[in-house]
Amino acid sequence: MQARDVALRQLNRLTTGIALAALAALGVLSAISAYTIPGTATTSSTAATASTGASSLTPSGLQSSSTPATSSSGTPVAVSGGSH
Amino acid sequence: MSDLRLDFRLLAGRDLATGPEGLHEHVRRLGPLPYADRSLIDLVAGSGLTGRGGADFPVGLKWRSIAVAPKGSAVILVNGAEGEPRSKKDRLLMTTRPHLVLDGAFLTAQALHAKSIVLYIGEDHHASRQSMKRALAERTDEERRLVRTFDAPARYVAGTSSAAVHLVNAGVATPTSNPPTPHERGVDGAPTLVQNVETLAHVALLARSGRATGTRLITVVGGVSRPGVLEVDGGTTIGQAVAMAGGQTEPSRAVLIGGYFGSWVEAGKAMALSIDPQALRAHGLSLGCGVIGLLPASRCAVCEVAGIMRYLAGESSAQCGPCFFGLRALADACGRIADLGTNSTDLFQMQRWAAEVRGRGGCHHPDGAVMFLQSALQTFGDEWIQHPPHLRRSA
Amino acid sequence: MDILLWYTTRGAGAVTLVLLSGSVVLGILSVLRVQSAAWPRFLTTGLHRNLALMTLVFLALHVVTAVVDPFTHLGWLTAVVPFSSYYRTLWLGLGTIAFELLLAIVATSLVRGFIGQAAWRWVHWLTYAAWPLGVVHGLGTGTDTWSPWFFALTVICVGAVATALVYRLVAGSPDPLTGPRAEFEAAVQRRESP
Repeated sequence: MQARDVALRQLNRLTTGIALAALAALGVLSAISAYTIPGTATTSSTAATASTGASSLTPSGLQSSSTPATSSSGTPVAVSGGSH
Repeated sequence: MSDLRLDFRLLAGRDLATGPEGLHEHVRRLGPLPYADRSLIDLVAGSGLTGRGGADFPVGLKWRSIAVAPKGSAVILVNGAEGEPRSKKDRLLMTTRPHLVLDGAFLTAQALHAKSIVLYIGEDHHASRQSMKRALAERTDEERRLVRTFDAPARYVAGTSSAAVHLVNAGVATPTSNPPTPHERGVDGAPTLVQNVETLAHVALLARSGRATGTRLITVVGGVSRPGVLEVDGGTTIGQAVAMAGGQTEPSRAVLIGGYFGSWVEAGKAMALSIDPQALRAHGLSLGCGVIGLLPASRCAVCEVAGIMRYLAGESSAQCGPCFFGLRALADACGRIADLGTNSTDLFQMQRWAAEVRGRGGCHHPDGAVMFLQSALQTFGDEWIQHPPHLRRSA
Repeated sequence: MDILLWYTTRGAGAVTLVLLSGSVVLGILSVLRVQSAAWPRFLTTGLHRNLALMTLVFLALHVVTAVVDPFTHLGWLTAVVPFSSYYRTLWLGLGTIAFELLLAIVATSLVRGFIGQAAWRWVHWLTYAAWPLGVVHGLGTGTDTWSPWFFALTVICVGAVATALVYRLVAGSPDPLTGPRAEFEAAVQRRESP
């Protein structure tokens, strides 16, 4: 039972460490996912493009490459790559 | 219905040393077994009778929760295990007034339309078992047919309601964690009323007189001239009970109220306390099953506590890690302080571990032990801090 | 901006997979009572619990970003009703089921005192359904299935859980309470009185 006290502190340290690592991973993996399969507006359903195109006045920085990379999978992909 | 000529006390009648009171004498003294129906439940509820097994739970409430079960389904479990080592009241009752207990059981069974009765008697309590067996032989066939008897293993937790039920159902007297509680699904899955033998004895008198006796049985042990069981009226103080037990053999350092799951109180303060569960609760104390132990000033408190903790740790049913290992660690720490003298590490860790163990077991055992230890740490503060290594525990 | 939601959904999904797999592995190791001088048993269970809670957090993020994202056309209903999405109905539905199983598992663990040990264990065993459903959902919804990074991550997670499972099946579950418990049970056996 004596080891418990030391281990309790260790548990908290480990938990905090993992939580931070998870957050970091979230950022990294989201970025990697953006890099590998960036979004586009073209292959999403027409309703989607219609709803976003009209109200937007500012160009989206992410909209620079409009090549439909997502269509490589061949099936409709839920894409949020609308211009906003 | 009330007869003021009769002495409605549990231990009234023939001298306790002369053995069990037979059926004939019992009936001559108190009258025949009254007829019981649902109205007995109201009588019990109205009397304010509370359980004598340690929890002090209103008996009427317990009965009402069983009464809602389908007719003919309930089981009455008569708890005569008396797992608390220093308690002797249940044994005394079964050995000297078995028909009071049996009356109570049969009355309860009738009022609650129970289908059977289980007698749960401590395996080492041979005199009690013999007495109850003989008493049963004197009863009617119809009554006898309802009853099964089981030996309660001589372990501290085997006297718990769930352990008793588990023994009958599964053959092993290990406490189980709720749910389901015995009154929901107990013996053979039936709604089971677990009632202490003393409580049932009170029912037997209540059914005849129409009112509660207002008395209770306590066991006074330790530094008194005549340790043993006493029947005391409500409002009797511990000091008065000690006088009834022949007075102290020497001045006491403290009193343990409620047995091994009870609390330590300074002797002076304890003597003035009323032996009434409700009054004690107001002080944060519990009467438990009524064991009141006087610790003489000449005995070492730390060593006594260490011995009791060693016992309680050994009585863990080893179903939960925190209880088994936690109580063992606490007992070891106590033992080290008792044998080798105070050391700040053990003292500090004991307080931490006690707080951690509490509530982490599946049953009440670790909690009871921890509360006992915590009250000891509080009451004997100086002794814990200054315990010298030379004092040896008696075996 | 919306595209960030999409990336976050995928990223959070991946992190969830990793955390969930880690939690499952620790859960298996808990049963095995793995421990050493520097690593007491309750570290494993404690970490298991904390990881499980973290998993729920990232899972919630994953679900919320997916639903809120205007381009996925996933209503809140798809988060709770399996197979109600137009998109990848089957694979997403499996994810919904996994999500709900995990909710139940964590919820019952939090109220274990109220529901009793038996009920808790029964629900907890559903982890062995929830985890593979989560993995299959991740592979089936398709966006990143064949991306090297996600595929590799999935392989590692599956490998870790598989290894832990094999270890458990082989090593059995040494319980330091087994001996004392058996001793106690032997001492409290029933003997019916004659």
